Amino acid sequence: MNDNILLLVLIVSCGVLIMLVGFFLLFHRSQSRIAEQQQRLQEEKLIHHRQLIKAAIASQDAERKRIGQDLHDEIGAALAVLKLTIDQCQANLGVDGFQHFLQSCKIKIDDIVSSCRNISHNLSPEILTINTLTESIEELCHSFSITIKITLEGNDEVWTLLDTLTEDKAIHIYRILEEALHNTVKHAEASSINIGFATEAGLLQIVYQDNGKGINHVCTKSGHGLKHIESRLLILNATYAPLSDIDHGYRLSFSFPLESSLSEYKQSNTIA
Amino acid sequence: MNSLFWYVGVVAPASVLVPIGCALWRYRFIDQALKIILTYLFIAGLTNMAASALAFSNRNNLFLLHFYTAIEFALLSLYFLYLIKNKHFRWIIISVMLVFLFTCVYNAFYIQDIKQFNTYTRSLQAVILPSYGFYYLYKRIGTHHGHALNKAHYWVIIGLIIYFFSSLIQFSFSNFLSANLAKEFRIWLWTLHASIVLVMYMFFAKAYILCKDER
Repeated sequence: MNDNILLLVLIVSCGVLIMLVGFFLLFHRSQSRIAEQQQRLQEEKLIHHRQLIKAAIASQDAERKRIGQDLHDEIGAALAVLKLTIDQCQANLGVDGFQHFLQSCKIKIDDIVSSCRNISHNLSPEILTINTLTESIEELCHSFSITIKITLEGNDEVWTLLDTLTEDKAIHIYRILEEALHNTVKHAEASSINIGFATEAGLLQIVYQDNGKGINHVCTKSGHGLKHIESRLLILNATYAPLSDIDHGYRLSFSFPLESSLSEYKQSNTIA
Repeated sequence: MNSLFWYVGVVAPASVLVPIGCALWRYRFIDQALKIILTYLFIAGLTNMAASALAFSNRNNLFLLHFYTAIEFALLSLYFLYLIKNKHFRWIIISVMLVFLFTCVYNAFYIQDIKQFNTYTRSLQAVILPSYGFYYLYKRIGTHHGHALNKAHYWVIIGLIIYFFSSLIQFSFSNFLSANLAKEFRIWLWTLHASIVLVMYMFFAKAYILCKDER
């Protein structure tokens, strides 16, 4: 054995050095990659959050505009006609003429009251005031059923559970379904919609499915309707999976925990 | 002690059949680089068979190690050549491979006796190949996007790094240890080496299992 031990020690030392430097560099690199990915994720979340806020603001603006238009077109116009009718009254009126004047004033006032009721109903559905959530959903589906066949699926237990939800949650569910129905009628060219309600392991699951042409999520990325649905789902703390397929229509499946709503309901019943 | 001889001479070398079996099972899905590793496994298996046969008939088998080192280095360099796309680094790999092959031949004929361990070339190999592995990992870490073949290469390279770095000291001082260490300790050392080889083969097997159709 006449190996040059010094040379071999040198090679081993180089090897150990390379190993240490190599592991250090790999560790450093992986840490910076993780940091980059986290930062990217954070930025994406921020952008998404901004989009949601933007959608919410846009929605508010659109609603203000619609209310303004409704007031102008219906209440304003009706009041203008009423004013005109009163102006005409300044001319001489006989008994018959006065009776006719009163009658037309009543008709105009009834029209204004009716318009006010319609505007008010559009602003806030009569959930938990006159109707239960199930009744409101049925009414909503009925209003769309002229153009499309809508099937509601669920058992007695689910309908009871739906009616125990807090007002906030009920309104969110109502609005989500309303938005989805609007989208289907407006864009999907569907002939039928199926809305299924089920409970499983303390979760309320709702599956909305139409048989239309589906939504290309890439193209409708900035669609306000979908953003509204997403905002409400986030508020509900729901887990959701929107799926769209050209052959199988649009499908939105979401579920959220029932526990809090049940306990709130029980608590309110106990107090009552 | 007899069982250790069987472990070092038969069980550990035979474990090469595990990654070879996995590679043949997934052959349709493996890329060119992994096919080179399969060739390497075949050559390692055959060399180990020959070495064990010579050892059991009490004949010196170290001349095989001189040839095997050159072939192993060439094949693993080719493997990295397929993986690494950097033009300059590819030239480095080719140049180092040619110089190393020449060094192996020169070492076998003029520096170290062919019946002794080739400690110089073996230890150089154990420094150079993991360095390629580190370079590849450094460039690719966090960028593989979960593709099966990329994951497979990670397992192969980690296996190589573990094997060569763990064996570096043993490779370097094989002649010294053979001359100065009691036989019992030497057997334990080679048992340890056989176990590291086994671990590397299992890493390769895992790499082949990961390969699947992702088209």
